[in-house]
Amino acid sequence: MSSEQHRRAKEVFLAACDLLGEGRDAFIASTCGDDSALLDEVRSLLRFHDDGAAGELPGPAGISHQIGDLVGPYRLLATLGEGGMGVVYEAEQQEPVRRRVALKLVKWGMDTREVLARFDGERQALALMDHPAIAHVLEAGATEQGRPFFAMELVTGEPITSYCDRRQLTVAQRLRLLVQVCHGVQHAHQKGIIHRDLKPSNVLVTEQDEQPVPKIIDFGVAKAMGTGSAAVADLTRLGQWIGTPEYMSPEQAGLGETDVDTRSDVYSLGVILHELLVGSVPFAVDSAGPVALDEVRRRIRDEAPRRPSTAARTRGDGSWEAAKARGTDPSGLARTLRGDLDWITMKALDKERSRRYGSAAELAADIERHLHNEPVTARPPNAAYRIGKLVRRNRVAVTAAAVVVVALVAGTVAATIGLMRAEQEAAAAQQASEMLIGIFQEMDPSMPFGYSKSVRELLDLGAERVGGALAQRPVQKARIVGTIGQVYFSLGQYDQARRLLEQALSLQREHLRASDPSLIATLAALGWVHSLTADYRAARRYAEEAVALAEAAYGPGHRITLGCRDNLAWLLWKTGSYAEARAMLDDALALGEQSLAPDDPRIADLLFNRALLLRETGEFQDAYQSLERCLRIREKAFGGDHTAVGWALNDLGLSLRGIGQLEQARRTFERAVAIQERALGPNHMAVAYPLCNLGILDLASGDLDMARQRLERSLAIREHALGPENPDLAWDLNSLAILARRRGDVGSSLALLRRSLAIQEKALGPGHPEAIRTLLVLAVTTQYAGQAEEARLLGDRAEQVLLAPAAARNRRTAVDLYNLACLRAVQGSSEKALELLRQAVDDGFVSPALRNDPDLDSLRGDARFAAIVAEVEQRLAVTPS
Amino acid sequence: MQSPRERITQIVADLGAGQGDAAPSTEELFRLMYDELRRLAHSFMAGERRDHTLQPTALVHEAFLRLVDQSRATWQGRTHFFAVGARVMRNILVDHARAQGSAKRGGSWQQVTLAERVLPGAEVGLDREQLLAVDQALDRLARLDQREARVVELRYFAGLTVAEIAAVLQVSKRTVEAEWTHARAWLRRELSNEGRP
Repeated sequence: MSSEQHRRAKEVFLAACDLLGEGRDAFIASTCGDDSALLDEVRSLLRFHDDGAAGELPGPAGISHQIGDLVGPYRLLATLGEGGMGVVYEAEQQEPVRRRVALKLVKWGMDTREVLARFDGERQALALMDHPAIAHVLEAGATEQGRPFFAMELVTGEPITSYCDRRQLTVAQRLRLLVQVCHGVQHAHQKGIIHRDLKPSNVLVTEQDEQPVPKIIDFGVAKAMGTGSAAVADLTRLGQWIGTPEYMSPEQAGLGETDVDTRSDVYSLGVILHELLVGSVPFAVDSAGPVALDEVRRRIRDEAPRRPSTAARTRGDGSWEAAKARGTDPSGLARTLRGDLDWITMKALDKERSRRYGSAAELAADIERHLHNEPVTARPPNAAYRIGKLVRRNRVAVTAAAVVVVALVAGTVAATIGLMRAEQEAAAAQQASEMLIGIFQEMDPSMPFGYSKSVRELLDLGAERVGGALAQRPVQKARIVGTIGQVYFSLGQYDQARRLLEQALSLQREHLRASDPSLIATLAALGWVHSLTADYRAARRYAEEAVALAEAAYGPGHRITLGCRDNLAWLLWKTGSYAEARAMLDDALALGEQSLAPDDPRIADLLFNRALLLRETGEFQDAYQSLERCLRIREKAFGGDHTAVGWALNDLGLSLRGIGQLEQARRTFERAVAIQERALGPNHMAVAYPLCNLGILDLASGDLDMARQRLERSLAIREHALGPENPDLAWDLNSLAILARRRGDVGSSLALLRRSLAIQEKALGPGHPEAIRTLLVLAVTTQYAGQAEEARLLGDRAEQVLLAPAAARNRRTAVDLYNLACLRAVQGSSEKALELLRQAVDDGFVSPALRNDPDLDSLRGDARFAAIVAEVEQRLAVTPS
Repeated sequence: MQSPRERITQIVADLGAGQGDAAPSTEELFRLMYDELRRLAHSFMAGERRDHTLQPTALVHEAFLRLVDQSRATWQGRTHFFAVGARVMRNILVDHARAQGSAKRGGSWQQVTLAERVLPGAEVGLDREQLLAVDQALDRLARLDQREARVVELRYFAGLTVAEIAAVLQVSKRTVEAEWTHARAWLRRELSNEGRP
């Protein structure tokens, strides 16, 4: 044996010391190769080494401690496993308390005093740690023979990587688990403890109540053992590694003695993240020889790791296995990982620790942002990215009306950027949209579009800023002001929206081309705003201009054009121009079916409005079918909980009510209410519509208390949302009036009706069908109040319109005739009443109201009346509910 | 002319401060300590304390107290003193063991307890044969790897800690621990029957 041989044997021996089992044998075999003398030497050394602590007899099995032995106050119960540092036992503490612990008996390291001294330094801080994700280190001590040991909280679990694979957790599930781990690490960092040796075997997952709970073990142990932060230079010389180097940060694997800080743990978390996502570590150790280990060290320091999405695809057979363990296939996995997760992982694994996440909490926060579809900080900010996130995130919260608006917004900004020719302008547009996105980002992302003072303040601020910042860039300013206006609109801030949109419009007319999508979007938005504030004439002007411009710029079949037409059709419906609306819609639908995909949400919008019109003419069955299709499209496009679906359901319910299927109508309305409440909050105007409809059903079935509850609430909501002058209030007011009358409070009833009529006549005009309806109810009530003359005049007015030769006659108008019949009956004109009733029923009137409507009491003795009632009952019985 | 004590204190202070030539100084220190330590050891062995084992570390410690002006002693200086003391004690003990061996009768061997148990399972104290075996093994080791042998010597005969050994040898603690890990296995093999080729 020469010195050289001695030294070589020492190197191999030391490196082999901390490998176990097959790994060790393989390592020795490969390193020694043909040199059998070396092989023998190493082997015999190892035999004398394996026998536990300094100065102990080699026992028969080579393990110095047996099950049942006492180590300090701990009785060894079972071997849990062996690691680089020593053997871990399950032990039972005998005193002062009896409890099960994990006992780690350290394998080597001669200076127990030093180990304990180092541990002592952290003992205080370790004792202060209290986090569900951290396993407690209970104490550190020494055996009689002087071997250090650590007693730790017993954690029965498996390494996080194998747990996730075994349970085939999806990427999202794995991420959530890792977030918990990060929080644990953060807690320790805040107490001044750096783990230094984070790896999957130190992050065990147990299950509590069927939920996975991660527990990080060995806090404080690594430092005490002197691993990690020790002078790695000597390690390299001897080629000795403590456990696996793959999780070591570049500064730990470097040559100099750099200070290890919390970011080193962040790096290790990054490696674990990589492994959870892809199934392999960024730098694998292929062979465990001293030369290879040097190589690994170099790679950790110098080589850039592959992105997870790339790694997922290019691992050969491993790719399929890995993908399966995540519940998907390789290309699916790559798709999921591409983008945010790539960026996050790369940032955590940055060689330059100043570029990494500064803390485990920051890493966790970015992962959570990704899970909530918010922009992650790891990515370079980019308008398109953030817009995409915004739309994805807020899909649930957007109202039906705003669906059009927001789609236009998103489309507008993107289209704007695309249409830019001058680079300068493009950059400015980028800046502008980023400003807007910045505003959005400051909003509470979990809050649906609704009322929020803070959001308004932010918008106000943004509106102000825009004025100043873009003073030199009128084109951009014009655009951004318009966009902000649309945001106000989506929030229900109609006054501000109108103000800004009008400002935007004048700017845009001045600086933009007529075909500019921003201009069209602003016009469309103004149309909406004005219709919501019941200024239908102005609304119509805007809507018509929008259609004209869109058609000129994009052609008649384009989505944008169709959207504008759809808006206009709705307005025409609202203002009573049913025939015109019908024509426009049929036209638009035909074009849409031609140029758009059959499940394009734009088609759903057209179908929706078409159904409104069909209801007006009493074609409830047709309306029902249109709405069914609309509903299907919207459900598919937005999911079953989306507000657009809620709107469709509301109208579907109305059609069902029209057909007479009251039970189904009720269920539909109830579903609509639930959806709107969930999507937009309990005070959004979208809730009021189906709620009121439910109240009306309650009224019809005689449940007056429930009716009052619902109607009062829907009135309150609409008043607050739409203001006191909006004609939609009429529905609530009228129904409440009927309710009041039933209770005998004629005075209140009259007041409500008069108010309702005044609103409608002002907003819609005196001849509008809705106004006529109100008129009728008012007439009847006036009659009840004993003001016969007044009642007669009112009735005459209504009759004039309803029975005019050119008047429409359908199921819808039949209801009006019914109401008029009620009036005449109350006024004593029984003959006239019966005549009208007959006509109403002939026109298609069918309602159980006929059974117990007190207004018709004077007719109840008449045989003709009985016959009419019987006929209606028959129709009701036949119609399945 | 300085007294031995003064001289020793001076050398120790110089060594501790990193001044003075290390090799000549330690040689001189060795000479100066040898007499003192031998006297101490002999008085121990000849005394009535037969039931107690002789601990080289303790003796060196006592010598340190006697021979060095404590007010001028630093940690580094103490470490160097002990490092030399280790060599001295080893020499003294081996000489004594050899002397014992040649005498047919009389002078029973005083058990020696090193700073750390050499052989697992063996008695705490080393008998004559064992001590000699250790010494010879150390010699063999020194021919193969001087530094490694020195680590062992410093550990056994002076009871220095890892940090202290690292300071004396001017290497890192990790190196010391690694050397020790290997040395232990090597020694055990050398000293056990199985190790015999």
